[in-house]
Amino acid sequence: MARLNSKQTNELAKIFLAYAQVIGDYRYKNFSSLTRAQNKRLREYHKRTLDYSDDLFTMSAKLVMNDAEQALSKLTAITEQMEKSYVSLINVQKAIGIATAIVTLGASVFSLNPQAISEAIGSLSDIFETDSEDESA
Amino acid sequence: MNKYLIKASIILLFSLGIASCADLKHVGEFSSTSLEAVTAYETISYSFEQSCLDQCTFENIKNLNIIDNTCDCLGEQQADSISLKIYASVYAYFDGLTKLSSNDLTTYNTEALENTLTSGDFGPIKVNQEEAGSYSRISTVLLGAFTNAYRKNKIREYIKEGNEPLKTLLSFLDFNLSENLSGKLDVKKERIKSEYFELLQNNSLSAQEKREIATDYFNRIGKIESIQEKFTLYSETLMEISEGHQILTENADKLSLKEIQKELFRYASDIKSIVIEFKKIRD
Repeated sequence: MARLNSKQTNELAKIFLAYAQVIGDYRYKNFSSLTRAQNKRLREYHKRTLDYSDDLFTMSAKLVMNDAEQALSKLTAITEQMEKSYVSLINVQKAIGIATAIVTLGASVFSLNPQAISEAIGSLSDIFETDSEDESA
Repeated sequence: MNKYLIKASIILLFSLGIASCADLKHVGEFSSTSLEAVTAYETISYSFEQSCLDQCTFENIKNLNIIDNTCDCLGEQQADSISLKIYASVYAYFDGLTKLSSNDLTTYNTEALENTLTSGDFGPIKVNQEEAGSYSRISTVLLGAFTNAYRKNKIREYIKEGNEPLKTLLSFLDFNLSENLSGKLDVKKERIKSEYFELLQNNSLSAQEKREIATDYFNRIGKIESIQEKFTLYSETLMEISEGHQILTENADKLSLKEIQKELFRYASDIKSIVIEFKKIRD
């Protein structure tokens, strides 16, 4: 037998709520003409019908998981891909930093200036260290 | 021949320059506004579990039960966790789209390269500042063009693939709040009405006491209706987001068109207005 889905369960919850409202309104309007026993019984029916409605609203919300599962996993997968694209674009800035340091090192080697070479190696090594710290963080 | 090549290079660079300025501001604006709007979920101070706890406490008070006052709200906790899961997924999607469409993302800084080339002491090698600046600007344009084209393609792909699952999840989040949780509040209103009706039938109470009871009744109902109003506005926000994303998807291949940009800015502005209304409602 086919199971109810979240929308159908919600419809049922609303129907029970409408029944409860009718029972309640009837009791309020006829309170003085009803016997104590009749009043008690109607109050109990009213409460029970409200309990059904309350539980059906919760059940409907839980059934949403069955209906939304596929969409949920699909959107999560897309978001993960998006994050990868973002990281790769951020890495371009890192690459520029590295390229800058390499160009500086190359130029300093051509200059045959030991101090410039040592400074360039130092800044290149700094960049790589920052990069590996970022990755391990 | 050389002149021809120079001319062609200038045209190519000019075209790339235009491409690199490809404006994704409207996509960024729409997604960041949507992101801010969906987070209103976190400000709604009512949940399935709260509804269960309220009812459980009400029953304990009615039955004068203070000994075993534990409340079984497992089902309601599950219902909350499902809504939260959907919310988190929608949030993550717009967060990703906002970051990816940010114009700052592909504005790379090559100033360091320019400075080191001109100020460095490279012995016989001299780089003229003007030349270094030009090379640096050209590389920025080329880099921007390449990365902008990459991210535009990616954004197009993600928007198209994400549209259906996003719309489904937005509608389920809306359904759980404005249909199910709000429905439980309707049940609560009916319970309160019945409770206060009983109290008002008590002939031993004075007219003043009955007036106070009636005032208390209207206060409680008013508070519930404020929460329901929040659900209604949140629902409108989710619908606007869904419609805006649909427009974005339908026009994913012509994202730079002025009409599309205008349309998306309109959606972003409508969403902002609803969020302002939402914030005005007191708990």
